Amino acid sequence: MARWNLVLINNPSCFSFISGYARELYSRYVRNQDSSVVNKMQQRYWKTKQTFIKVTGKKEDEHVVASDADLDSKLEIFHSIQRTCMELLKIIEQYQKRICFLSQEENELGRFLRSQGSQDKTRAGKMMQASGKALCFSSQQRLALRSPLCRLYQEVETFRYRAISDTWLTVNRMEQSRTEYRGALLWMKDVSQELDPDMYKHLEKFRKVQGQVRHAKIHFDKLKNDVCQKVDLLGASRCNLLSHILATYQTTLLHFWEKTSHTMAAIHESFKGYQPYEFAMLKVLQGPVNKLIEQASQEDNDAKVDVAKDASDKDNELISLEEEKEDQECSASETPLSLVMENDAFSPLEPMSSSNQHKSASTSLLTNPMESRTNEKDEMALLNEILNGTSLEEGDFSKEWQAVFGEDLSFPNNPAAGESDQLPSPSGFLPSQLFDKSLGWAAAGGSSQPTSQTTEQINGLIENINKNPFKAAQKNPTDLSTWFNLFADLDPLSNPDAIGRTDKQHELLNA
Amino acid sequence: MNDGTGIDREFLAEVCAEVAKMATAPYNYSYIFKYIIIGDMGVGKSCLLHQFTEKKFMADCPHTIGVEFGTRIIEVSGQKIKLQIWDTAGQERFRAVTRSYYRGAAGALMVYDITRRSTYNHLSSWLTDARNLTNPNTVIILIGNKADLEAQRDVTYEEAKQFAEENGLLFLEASAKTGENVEDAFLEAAKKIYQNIQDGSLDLNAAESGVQHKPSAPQGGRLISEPQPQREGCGC
Repeated sequence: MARWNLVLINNPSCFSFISGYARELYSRYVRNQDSSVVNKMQQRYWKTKQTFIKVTGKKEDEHVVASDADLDSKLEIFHSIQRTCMELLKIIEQYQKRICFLSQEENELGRFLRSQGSQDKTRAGKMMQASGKALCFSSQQRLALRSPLCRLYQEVETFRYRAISDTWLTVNRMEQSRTEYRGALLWMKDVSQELDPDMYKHLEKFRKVQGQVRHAKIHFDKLKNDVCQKVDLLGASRCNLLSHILATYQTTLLHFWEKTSHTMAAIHESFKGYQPYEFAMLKVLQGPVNKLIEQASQEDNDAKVDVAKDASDKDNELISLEEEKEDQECSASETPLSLVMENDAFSPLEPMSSSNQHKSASTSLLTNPMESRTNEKDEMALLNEILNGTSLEEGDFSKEWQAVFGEDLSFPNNPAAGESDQLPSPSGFLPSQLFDKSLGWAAAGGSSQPTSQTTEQINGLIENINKNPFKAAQKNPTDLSTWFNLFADLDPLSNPDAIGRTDKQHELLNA
Repeated sequence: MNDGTGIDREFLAEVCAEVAKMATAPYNYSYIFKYIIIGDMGVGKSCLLHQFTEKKFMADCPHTIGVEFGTRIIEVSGQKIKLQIWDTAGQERFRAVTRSYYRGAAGALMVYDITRRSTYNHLSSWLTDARNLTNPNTVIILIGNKADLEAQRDVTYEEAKQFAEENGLLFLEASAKTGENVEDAFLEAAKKIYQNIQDGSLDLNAAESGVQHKPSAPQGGRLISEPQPQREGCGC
């Protein structure tokens, strides 16, 4: 080697010699020299320079940056996965808290209603108790949602802790290697400025840098591939994870809704009829009440034609055991009370879309005073049955779900709005409006004033909700309400002060 | 014949003559032309160089890092000319680095791959670089490599010829694999450059003409052990 050195130095056109078969040996020789202190210093210098450029955000060579475009896009994906996982965890935590709060409030409300209801001896008391029970039941069921959420939280947490951190380590290594590589490229650029292959010194310098760049490039390319692969795997595995856990969550949610909606629908069925009530103290509640009155008036107008015709028959039919008419055209859905109660007993859990059943269960608040005590007892037995039993008709429910949401399962981004976000109110989907209202109450600090107005509201709303999907059905509880007006004085539920006003309202409706 | 020193004079004379021939021959060129080979990654620049200098086709050439060199002596109009060929890296990340190499080039070989349309489409950017960074007299020759892969042709001869004519470039289709037109490519460019020198349009005294005029006297009388005649390669 030393001998060759002499030759090289003495021969001006050593370039040609170097480029001969000895080039291989020479390159190796040069590379071995890389470990010298000077070389190390140079390498360090250029790497630091590149780090400086990167840190200060100075504009890098566009070609160098462009050549890493695909890598940069993968890094974007990785950072987005990282960020969204964090957000998901936060949201789940918040969501769980809200569920807890909501459940608590619901339970409070339910208990309150029950306690108040037990003190009230009228039918209103029964309704309050029934509703209270339903709310308590719903609040318990709601807690069931927490379990899949917990699971999801744990899974995502593990995912973050393992998969994301591991990928993060690889990304860091790649970045370091990239800095080194780019530093070497800067060095090469510098050396290339004055390169003359016929000049030995230049060429040696260049060879040194070239070796350095080659080495860094190999290292960087390998890490780049690693990063790309890992990010792809990360994305795929997260999809997998989410699709598994969210399926469980979805099923649980469906069950919850089904159970509670069945319960509440049954209660509504048994406590039919809407009694307009003028709110004296809580004016804010008058709004929804007015809406209900409007809706009632609409249905009233629809059936106006038949009202007059059937009015005379109603008195007679009140006590008779006439079968209900099945004709949808016919607005007169009057049925004898006892028959109604029987039907109620047997058909609480049928699909809500059956208009037949709906017609048959057309008891109204207004007819209650006529009932015997035994009928009321039947009702309570029925309600207890409902509340204690859990019937799940998944197929039916899934249909409703599909009709409303299609195939999407959008994760609640805003837990504050909770379920109301996911449930479009105008769809006629039963629980939505009720939930909206109950959430509104919960938000307002559930412990509303202990007045019978609350009960009216609940029942009115339940009534209203059930009205919407069944507009097609020519049910007309106001048929009964028309002749009820004759007995308005006897109704214990209406505000005695408002009887006069109520009549006026009805007059308006009938006008 | 022994004369007591143990050295056979005749034999020695023969050796001297042999070595002298070897020693003087490589330096017997009048000019040095600097060539650069430019073009997209993977079009076959390194293979063209290797074919030209080694007369061999290198199937597995790794990516060129920065630049590689090759030389060969050719003859134009009775003059021996040494070609100093700079085979630049085509990868985009080396663009800033390779821009330094254009300076002082007498001739540029712009290479594209006839089986890949994209390499042809990028020619305008390579041409812009070449025009900006070399002197106006630099001879640029367009080379469509991989002419042996006729079945996968993606760029027709005619359109490339038209492009070359529009931009004042020489044009040849070649194949580094078969060797077709490889020599001609380098030779044509050299001829053009030599012609420019004869015309006077190329000023030899200009700093970055890319041409060095060398006297034909050998460099010193020392007998240097040259293991090989002038042969360059990529040394991969």
